[in-house]
Amino acid sequence: MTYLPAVILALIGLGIIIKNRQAVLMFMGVEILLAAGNWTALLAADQHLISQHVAVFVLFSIVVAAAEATIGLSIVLRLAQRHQTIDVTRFSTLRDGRE
Amino acid sequence: MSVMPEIYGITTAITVAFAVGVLLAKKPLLAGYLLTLTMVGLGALFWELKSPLLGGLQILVYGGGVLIMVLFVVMLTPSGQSSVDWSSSWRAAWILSPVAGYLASRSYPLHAPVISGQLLGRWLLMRQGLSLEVLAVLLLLALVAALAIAITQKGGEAS
Repeated sequence: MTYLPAVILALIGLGIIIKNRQAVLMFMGVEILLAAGNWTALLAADQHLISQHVAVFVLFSIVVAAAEATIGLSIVLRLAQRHQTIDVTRFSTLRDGRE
Repeated sequence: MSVMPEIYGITTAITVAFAVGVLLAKKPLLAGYLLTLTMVGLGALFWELKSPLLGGLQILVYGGGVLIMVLFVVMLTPSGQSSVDWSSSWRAAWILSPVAGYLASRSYPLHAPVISGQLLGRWLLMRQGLSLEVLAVLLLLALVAALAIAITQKGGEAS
């Protein structure tokens, strides 16, 4: 029961990813998912894990999420520049754009 | 008698409500603002779980850095694509906010360990020095990778 609020937040993040087809909005869902994971880890400090380990884990998770967002959003920008859209259903290929 | 469980429950309900707002937002810009508020709420939750430093970092990194990037991307992407089709059945997600608040208030960890900045700083610098350096390198590499992806092939202009 301790983890259920964090699970609900993670489900909302998942719902955002499922519902939207725009890359930026899907990104927001991923960020909420990651933040819910951090929350779960912090709750686990009370019951199962040593608090310093959890704190370092959450710190690393925040940094990795920031790095992921930096690269992911630059990919979104590049796709928008190339295809004039951020609708992920329009991107059907991974090949290079130089035809 | 402590009122922290009630405060924790209310904060959880508000945070989840902001997240549901992101889910139901029709415009990406509004979703970005609501996501900022969600992250601020999560920072407050971390503070209530006796981790003020992690709460502050959550607000600084997500609420400050990442969300500024998200809003920039929203503003730089092609216009005319901001409307999102959604059915009214998604509105049922609002029920998650009071449910999460109630569950959180019932399960607030009263004896959660305090993770202070002093404790975390000592632990990081004395025992996790290499990991800290690896994190710094990771962030630098992410920055370089983002620049490499954003620079166009023709003429080397940045997008």
